[in-house]
Amino acid sequence: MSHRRYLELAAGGALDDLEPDERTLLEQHLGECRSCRLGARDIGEVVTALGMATPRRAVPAGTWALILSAIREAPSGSSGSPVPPATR
Amino acid sequence: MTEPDRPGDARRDEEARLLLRVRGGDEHALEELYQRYSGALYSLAYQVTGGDRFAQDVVQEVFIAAWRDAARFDPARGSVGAWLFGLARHKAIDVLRRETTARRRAAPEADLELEVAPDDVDRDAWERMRRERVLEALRQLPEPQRVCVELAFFSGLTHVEVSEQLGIPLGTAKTRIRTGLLRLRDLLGDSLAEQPAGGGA
Ligand SMILES: [Zn+2]
Repeated sequence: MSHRRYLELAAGGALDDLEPDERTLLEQHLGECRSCRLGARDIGEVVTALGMATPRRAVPAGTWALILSAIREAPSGSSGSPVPPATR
Repeated sequence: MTEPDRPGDARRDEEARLLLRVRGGDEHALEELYQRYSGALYSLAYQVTGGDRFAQDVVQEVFIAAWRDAARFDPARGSVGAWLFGLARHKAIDVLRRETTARRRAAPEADLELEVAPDDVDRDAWERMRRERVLEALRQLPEPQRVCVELAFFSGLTHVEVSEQLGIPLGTAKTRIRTGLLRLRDLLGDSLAEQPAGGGA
């Protein structure tokens, strides 16, 4: 399969539209191909750019306060693993 | 994280560090991400769900999920922004499933109004410029690809729904969406990684 085909899979993945076997193929290839890894990253940036390009509306006041009160009842990382050191 | 440095990496790294702090229970880090992304996430959710009540729910759910599931973010796979928009799209589609049986409101191209933003409240000139560039790239897509990408992204239709709405085979819908995204990547090129002057870098 060509790199181009893998990038098409990455585009499918960016909108969460991959069959399980396609996802396996893609993950495998991304693990070993740097250029497709960078390509997949750019496709993620396309998704971000599209999101940022949405015609803007004002977020209702008080939304952050609602989030804040919700997260104070739910510890961060409650469904994940312990926090690793914040260095890379 | 052995990829070469490119423009935009500083912002990506900074936001990945913010998410690490979120994972560690830092509310201020979450608030920082909220300030950067809530406007766009809300707008996208509004576009997809067609209602401010739903859109507010989506934004709440996205940031609560980011708080709870920060450990699931993998910086090697993409940026924090892409992750948040992915979450938002998911949650928006979930909300629609929960709340309505009449999903057929989205016309193929008519009411997206991507060219004009009458209630545009964004004050940031750089963001506006960047948005213009993205919309311009969208306009440059071949019509069938553009329609499919817009339905899949801005109307939040699944690929099956896109194919049904347009009366085209599922495989064709998938191909148009995928090649449309790839074409956008080519059209946008280096500008994808750009960031506002003085912001983050
Ligand atoms: Zn490759």
